[in-house]
Amino acid sequence: MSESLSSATQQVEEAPAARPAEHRAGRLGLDLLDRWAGPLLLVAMIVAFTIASPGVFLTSSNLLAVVNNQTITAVVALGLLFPLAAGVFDISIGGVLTLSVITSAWTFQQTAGSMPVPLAILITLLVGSSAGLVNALLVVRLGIDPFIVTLGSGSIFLGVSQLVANGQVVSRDIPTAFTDLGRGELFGIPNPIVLVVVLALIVFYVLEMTPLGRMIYATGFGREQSRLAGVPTDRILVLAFVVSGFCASLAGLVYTSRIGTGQPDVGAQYLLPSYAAAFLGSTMIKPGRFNVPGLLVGLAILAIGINGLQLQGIPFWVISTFQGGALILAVVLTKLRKLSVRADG
Amino acid sequence: MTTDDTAALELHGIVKTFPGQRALDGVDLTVARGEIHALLGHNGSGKSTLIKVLSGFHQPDDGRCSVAGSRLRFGDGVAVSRAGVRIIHQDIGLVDELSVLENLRLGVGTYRAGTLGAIRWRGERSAARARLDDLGLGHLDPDAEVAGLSAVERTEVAVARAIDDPDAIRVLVLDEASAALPEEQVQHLFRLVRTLAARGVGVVYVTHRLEEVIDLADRVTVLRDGVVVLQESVSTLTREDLARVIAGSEVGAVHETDRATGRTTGAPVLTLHDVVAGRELAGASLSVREGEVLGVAGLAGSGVHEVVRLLQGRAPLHRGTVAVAGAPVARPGVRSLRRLGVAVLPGERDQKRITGMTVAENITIADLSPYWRGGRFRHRAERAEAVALVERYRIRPPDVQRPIELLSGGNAQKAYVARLLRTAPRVLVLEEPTHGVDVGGTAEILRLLVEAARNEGTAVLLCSSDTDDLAATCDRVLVLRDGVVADELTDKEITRERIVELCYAAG
Repeated sequence: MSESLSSATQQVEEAPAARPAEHRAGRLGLDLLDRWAGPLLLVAMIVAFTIASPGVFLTSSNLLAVVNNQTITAVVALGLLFPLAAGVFDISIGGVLTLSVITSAWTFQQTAGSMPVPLAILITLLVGSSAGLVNALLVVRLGIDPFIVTLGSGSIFLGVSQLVANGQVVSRDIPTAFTDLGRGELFGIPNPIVLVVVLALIVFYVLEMTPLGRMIYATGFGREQSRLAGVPTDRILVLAFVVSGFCASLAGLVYTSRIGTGQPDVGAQYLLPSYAAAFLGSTMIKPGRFNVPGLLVGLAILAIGINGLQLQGIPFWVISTFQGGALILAVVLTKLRKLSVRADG
Repeated sequence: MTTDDTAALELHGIVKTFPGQRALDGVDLTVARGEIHALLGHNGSGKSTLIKVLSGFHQPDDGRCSVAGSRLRFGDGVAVSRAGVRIIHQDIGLVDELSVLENLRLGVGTYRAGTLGAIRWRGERSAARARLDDLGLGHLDPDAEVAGLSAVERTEVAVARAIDDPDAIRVLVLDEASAALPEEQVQHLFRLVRTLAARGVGVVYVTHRLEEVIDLADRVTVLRDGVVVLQESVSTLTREDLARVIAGSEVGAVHETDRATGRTTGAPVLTLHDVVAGRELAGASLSVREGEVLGVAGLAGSGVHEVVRLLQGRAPLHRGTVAVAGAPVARPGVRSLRRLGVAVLPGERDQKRITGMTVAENITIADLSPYWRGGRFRHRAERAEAVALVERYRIRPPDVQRPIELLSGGNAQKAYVARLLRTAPRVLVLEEPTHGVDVGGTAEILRLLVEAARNEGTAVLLCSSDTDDLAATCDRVLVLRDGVVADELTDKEITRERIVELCYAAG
């Protein structure tokens, strides 16, 4: 309080003058560009690759393959939106995904294929959600940095997967009733795509159309301030980690049911694209917030960019480079945006 | 004239104006070599601005400054330091995890290095040893971790760090350096200050503890509203004289009409009984009634801030009871107090502002349930309520979609008040609600509080160091000293002068 006893004098502030009308119109244009630059880029890429690879890029088989390839990343990333929106990192999702792949495959292998499919799915989802709960308790109860917690726990989940799988591919006795789920179609659309659409709608609903979503964002923008304003921030964080773990194990189920085997090292490859897509998505549609439409556009930019470049004959190394570049670009864009908001004030 | 006759510090005719306010209006201050000069003044008197002018943080509109006879350019922190001026703030800026030695060397030049650039710790250690001994601080171990030191030892380390070259130091400013020190440790700091003064350093000692002034200082300057109202030798003064001068003599009933009288008969809504809590509260009891605006005044360390923290649910309750509407709160935590209808506006901005969210979102976050209808969030209803509140509380610009960080301090403050009042709290606790807010905004915020009390029956606890605000709005004012409620003022007794006098009164 002594600060306030003595420094009241130099903080007299005045409200900024009203902005002239033409300035405001200019701002509106900038706002629109801010929101829609990402989707515009996507359209431009599609046009460019269509011209560059005529008859190859813009075919339904190629596009369906591109989308289908992204379903696992999409499921992981949709779950990841919860911790990111709540202001915490969860980098254990790769480990959780691996653990879920091994869990589902292993339950069939151990029971010689007699394990009922719904029960195997339930067990797997429980394992994934529990992994998220462990993260949450370490972060909330012990106050450990989420980045460190999930870096460590992700490695543990990977280690447990390797232990369970005994370092080998788990592939015996996986029933076709299970693989049919991953390989089947609904009205001509592959099941995993249907799953992504449904999940995206649910996540969108929760984040945008419920008080819970608003409280998740508030926790992310200012945890202590929100807590003091009455938001149950601890519970929000627990929820965010559990949802993230749940979605990562859902992605693991998609993987096992599609590939039909469980490899104890699959998860890592989905970590970076999920983050790249989420951060890219946070620069568009609702700039400054992790949002579902932005995430989907971000995923599409990554997938189509890589696919289009590969069709041009650019080889394997483009994937990592492109994803890493997109992640950094997204963060740079966010930083620039924050600077411009401040300069504006 | 030999250099020895020149003053250590000479400030002349310093004027500093902020929009709508003259913070310093022609202040003169001369500190002789070896003199300990106390600088006093209440909230908003300008003493902090004066220090910031000296440090180079503020560029004054007029005036000049010399250190040891040579003219000093304003607004240049490096030149200030090079001239031999050292300023130690209350927040002394030590790194807890480092040792005394490492803190002494923090940011000052390079270490003694051997071959391959490795630090020669033995040399460093003996140099630090010598420096501490030289200042009479031989009890400090250079290898001790700062986190384990007592409050006064930390202050001593901070002073020792500032005195990096004893021969070059002309002026040492201690800005409320004793505020965090327990009574019995202050003498250690005094010894250090006297040691430095004996070597010819001019010391400017900013404090609010009047007994320290009598004990330590040679001369004293009192600022009020940006002017020097007293400048003389301490030997002829008593602490009562000082308190009177700080408070001022003019009759300060500002807008007496705002204050309703006789509002002291409602049922008690919030009661603290014999509360020992946090670091400061030592058996405080108070009670605020329905529809009453109760002022809480006190200097830093008196316990006012701890009352706020306690009611936020952030200060541990060691003894005593907190009761809301007659029922004791078993464990006063953030959630339990909020559920009972205790809403707190903390003084710190970073406990209120949810950066990145809009004005509307910042207002509504405390309770979103009204917008949750039929399984979806009614954004339009939220927006309509936010627009109405922005209109009613005159938040400018009236744009609810604007990021909150683009509002001025006063307008943002009104938004946080709106956030709390919207939840119709039973008890509203505000800490420095008008701090940094311009005149118009201040009047509006105070009007909102009084309205809430009168119309909604809210019990308002106004914790403020702004005695004008207290005098203008409170039905009763409590003055805290040393962690207990020491005095109570009612009705006609509530004047700015009386409040200040009691804040500075002896034990």
